[in-house]
Amino acid sequence: MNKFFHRASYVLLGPQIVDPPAQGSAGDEAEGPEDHVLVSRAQAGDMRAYDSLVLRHRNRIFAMIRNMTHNDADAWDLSQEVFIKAWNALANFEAKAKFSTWLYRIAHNVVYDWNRRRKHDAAGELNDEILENDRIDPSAIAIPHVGESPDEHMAMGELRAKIDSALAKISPEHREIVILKDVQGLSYKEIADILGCTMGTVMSRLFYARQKLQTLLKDEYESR
Amino acid sequence: MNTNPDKQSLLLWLEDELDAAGQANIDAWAIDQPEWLAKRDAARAWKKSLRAVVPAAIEPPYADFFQAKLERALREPASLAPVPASSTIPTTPWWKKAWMPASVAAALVVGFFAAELRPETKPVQALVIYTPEEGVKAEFFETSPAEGTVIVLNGVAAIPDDFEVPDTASVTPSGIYGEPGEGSTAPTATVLTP
Repeated sequence: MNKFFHRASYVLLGPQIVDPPAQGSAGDEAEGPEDHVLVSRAQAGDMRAYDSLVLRHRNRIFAMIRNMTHNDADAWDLSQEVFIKAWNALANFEAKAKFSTWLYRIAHNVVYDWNRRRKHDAAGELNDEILENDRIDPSAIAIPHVGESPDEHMAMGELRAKIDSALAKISPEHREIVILKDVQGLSYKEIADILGCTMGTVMSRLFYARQKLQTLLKDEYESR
Repeated sequence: MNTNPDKQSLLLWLEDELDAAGQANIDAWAIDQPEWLAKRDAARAWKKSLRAVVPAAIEPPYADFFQAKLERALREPASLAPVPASSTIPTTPWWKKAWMPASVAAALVVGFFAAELRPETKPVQALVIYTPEEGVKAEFFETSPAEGTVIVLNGVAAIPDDFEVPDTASVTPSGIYGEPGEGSTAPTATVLTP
């Protein structure tokens, strides 16, 4: 696709959604050498190898961050930050974990810092963590900002909009765990490695996150 | 499977995360557990419906620019090439490590005695002297024992012989203005011009 069509399709249809590969594959473009081969080359200073790694993983990293931030521009910048940080820390990467898991961990830290900065900038903003499940009014006017233009919102489809809206209402910690587990399809063990906590914590957090999200979606349907 | 599986295995089974043997074991147990089978079906359905609407992979807008900008950032001096962690951390010989606590203790003892033996000194305050004419250099002397302050102005024009020094007022301890030399206790200053 040339640049014009790419730009035009983006304006008309929004970000291009890519079919993810089957769970367990190396990344978005699994052709070519495996991750660990490219990582070894990149650690030796081969930028082309790192370029291939970025091409392979950027769509998933971008999607994860975008689903967290609900904003293309922020997700774009934060994804850049992830790959710059990964490059700078590549020498310290040990092949104990999967490269993709390591990237998700960096993405988690970057999004966490972004959230903290944002909270600091908007001190006093309502924190959904202080609300109980039954106190959330899904039909409330003050729905958290999702940062999308009306065109994009319409193109996404009604269900997507509802899920996005519900995801925006839960805490970043709960949102992240749902995205990593239910959208990205990572295992409990991988998520525990990414978040730096135990599998038990991941299981418990996922349970509450799903419960909260399902309650919000159920209420939303019933209120219509 | 006759015995009940542990909670963690069950949760992993619900998410289809067990290996083939583990999965088969709990599958066999779950034949008589319709509520657990329903839970697993619900978890699968939830994930399927979520993945159908929330994308797991999205190409960043202006992907070519994304890649180009990243490459440019990586070529900046700050992020040139990955440096192995081992080469960035200087290694300390064992004998230095062994002497480190002893040398720290010695430094603390010396520092303590040095502070004890040091004569008391008054803190020096920064002093700015403005001179009335250009080219006049001012020097400032302070003597602690005599509690006196002398300012020497170099480059001031000589005072003519017929210049009369005007009388200056001073403040007496009672707060009444008086003539100098009449029991005044106010400090006097002398300006010396070499």
